[in-house]
Amino acid sequence: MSTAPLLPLIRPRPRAEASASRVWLAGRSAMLIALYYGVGLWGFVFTPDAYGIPLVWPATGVGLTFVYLYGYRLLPALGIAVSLVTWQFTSTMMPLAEALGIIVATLAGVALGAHGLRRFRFSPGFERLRDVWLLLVIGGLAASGTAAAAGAWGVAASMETLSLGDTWWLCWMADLMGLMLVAPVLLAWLGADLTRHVEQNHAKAAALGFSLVAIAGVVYAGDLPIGVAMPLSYAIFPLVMLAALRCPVQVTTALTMVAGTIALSGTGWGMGPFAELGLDVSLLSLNAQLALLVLTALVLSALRGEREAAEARARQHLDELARAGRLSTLGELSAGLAHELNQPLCALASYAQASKRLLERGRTEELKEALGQLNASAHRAAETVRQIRAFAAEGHDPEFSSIALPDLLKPVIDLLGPELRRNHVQMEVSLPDPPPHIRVAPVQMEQVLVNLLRNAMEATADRAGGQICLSVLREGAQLRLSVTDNGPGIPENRLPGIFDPFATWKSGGLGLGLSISRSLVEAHGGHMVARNREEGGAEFQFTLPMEDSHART
Amino acid sequence: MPAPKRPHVYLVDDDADVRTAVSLLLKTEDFRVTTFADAGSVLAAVDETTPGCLLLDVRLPDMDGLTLHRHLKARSVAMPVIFITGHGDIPMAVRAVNEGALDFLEKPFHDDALIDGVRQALALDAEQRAGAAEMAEVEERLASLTPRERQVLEALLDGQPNKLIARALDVSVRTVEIHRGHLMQKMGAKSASHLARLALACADYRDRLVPG
Repeated sequence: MSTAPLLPLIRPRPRAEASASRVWLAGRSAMLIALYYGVGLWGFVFTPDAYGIPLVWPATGVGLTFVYLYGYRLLPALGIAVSLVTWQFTSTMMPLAEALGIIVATLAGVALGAHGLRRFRFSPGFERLRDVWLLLVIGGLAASGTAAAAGAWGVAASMETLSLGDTWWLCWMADLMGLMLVAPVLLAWLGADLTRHVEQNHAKAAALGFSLVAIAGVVYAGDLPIGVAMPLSYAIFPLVMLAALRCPVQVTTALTMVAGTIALSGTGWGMGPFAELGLDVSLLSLNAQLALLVLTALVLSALRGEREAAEARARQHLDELARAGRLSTLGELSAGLAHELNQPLCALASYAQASKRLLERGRTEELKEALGQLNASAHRAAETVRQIRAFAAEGHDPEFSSIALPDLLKPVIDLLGPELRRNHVQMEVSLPDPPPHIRVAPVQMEQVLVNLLRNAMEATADRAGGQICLSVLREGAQLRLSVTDNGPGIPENRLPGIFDPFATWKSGGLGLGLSISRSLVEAHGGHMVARNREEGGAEFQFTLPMEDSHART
Repeated sequence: MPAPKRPHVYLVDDDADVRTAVSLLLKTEDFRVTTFADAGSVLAAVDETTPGCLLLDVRLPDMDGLTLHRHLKARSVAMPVIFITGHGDIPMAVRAVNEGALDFLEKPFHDDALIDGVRQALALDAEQRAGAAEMAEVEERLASLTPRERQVLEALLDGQPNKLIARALDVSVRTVEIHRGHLMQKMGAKSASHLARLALACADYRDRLVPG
């Protein structure tokens, strides 16, 4: 924080707030009117003489986007925009009452569409497939359908060159195409949060944009024969697909809009492969191609968004599971920990009480010795606390670091040492020489090792000659870590699902330890297996990539 | 190891620090303390003749404290037991007391609680031992009675007068009186009621006690 933000912390007076809001509304309204009028102007280029109606009508999409994003208070501005367009382009052939009917129906359709989008929690980032369908179904049916019906009714009534049904169909197609062309890009740029995307590669976006404009320019404004231009027009698809998979949705939608605008404009002005078919047929078939292009882009974007969201959820879930596992491991350890802590506390209290009594009796030599022992006890207690803290240290945001294997193992062995001694279990550790370095999140790896070793210890705890063994082998570019015990082994029917969460057969455990351990090992790029040894006892093996070959994905 | 004649506090805990500290504390009150690190060495060291009391940690390396207590009872070691534990586990405390433990102290304990407990345990042990010694003597005297004297004693415990006893045994009343005099003397009884009390305290005649 710099020194500047003192001022913004002072709340603006309500009057200023209200006037700011008025300015904002005026700004958005002006923007809506300008855009609506602009795309309307542009749309009328695509009016074949045969029909007298435009075959691409993006204006409704503009209206829908603004009313959805900024609320019904933009409806008056939309009314003005629709009036302007209607008055300018159709006043000569339409009575006032019918023009008013078109305006009201358009407003109603847009309001209905905006309401539907809000009602079904449409999100303008297109990060879910349902957002694509919502826009097409609600925008396409409610907004475009109603607006198109109004337009068709007006046009058909005044021109009588086409049946009402055919007119409505053409109007609706035009509206839908327009909607698909402008609504996604407006929604994405005005409504979605650009910063939410992980990857922001401006160079890549620029390169894609440049290639796309170049191809579209050559196809729709160049002088290529139709046999070349027509197939080349499909070259836009892979570019848009690449954008959908790699770039923020804002870039993708902008690309589809640019491609669509160039294609439609070129075709409208009689250029490009579709133009040779005549305006009415060419626009319909170009519309179909563009609709597929937009749909491809949006669906791919949404699928990527869903995949990213699923991955984020999985990561979070794994973190939570690891955390829960830590807590449960701590819970399992807590009985042991209470013992570990109460022992030195008991010794401390007893030394102190003995010291008091020795002091009262004037036995200073013994008192001196008792106080020395008290001091030593306190230090041992502090060491126990330090070990517990080291173990319980927050593992929420694991940090990978390069660590020598013995340094990784030491805290684990220290932590389990007292329990091993108490359970009369021998532990043998064998490491490769020289000890390798590995790149791991040490806290997580410690947890894996503690889980496996505690399991092994518990399996051998009440047996004579209990022995567990941790051995590490270098195996090409990876390390193979193996924890074995000479206990009773794993019941055969438990073996297949042993890594499933809550698959415990011990009392007092949650059954999360192995599940978490395997997840953590897999997050490190290794894998874990369990088996029963022929000579008796269980074995858990896992691999870890060695440092030089480790690549984080 | 020969059992010490004087009562000791037998402290069993796996933690050397705790053993040193607690025995130091007990020694300030002039208790004699012997410490053990595990259950096995306790079982090897004490028997039913050992006077004293036991301070048992619930968690021991080779078996838990309650199991050790059961093993000791099975060997007729009747020393009072005070459990000490690092984690207050109420169900376990209840179980321990139900199985005959004198007390259950949570670590770290108050010195007064520990010392009072130990004092009480040693007093109880002494009392039990004195009672047992007396009992042993009575049993010994009872064993010195002749079969005839035993018959007379049993009839007396049934509350029969001399005349009835004489008839039942087919002897003269005078003979019964002579047997009775001998057995009173052998048992060290000062009166008929004292004799009854002594006899009824013994295992052989305990079932003759009539309720009410």
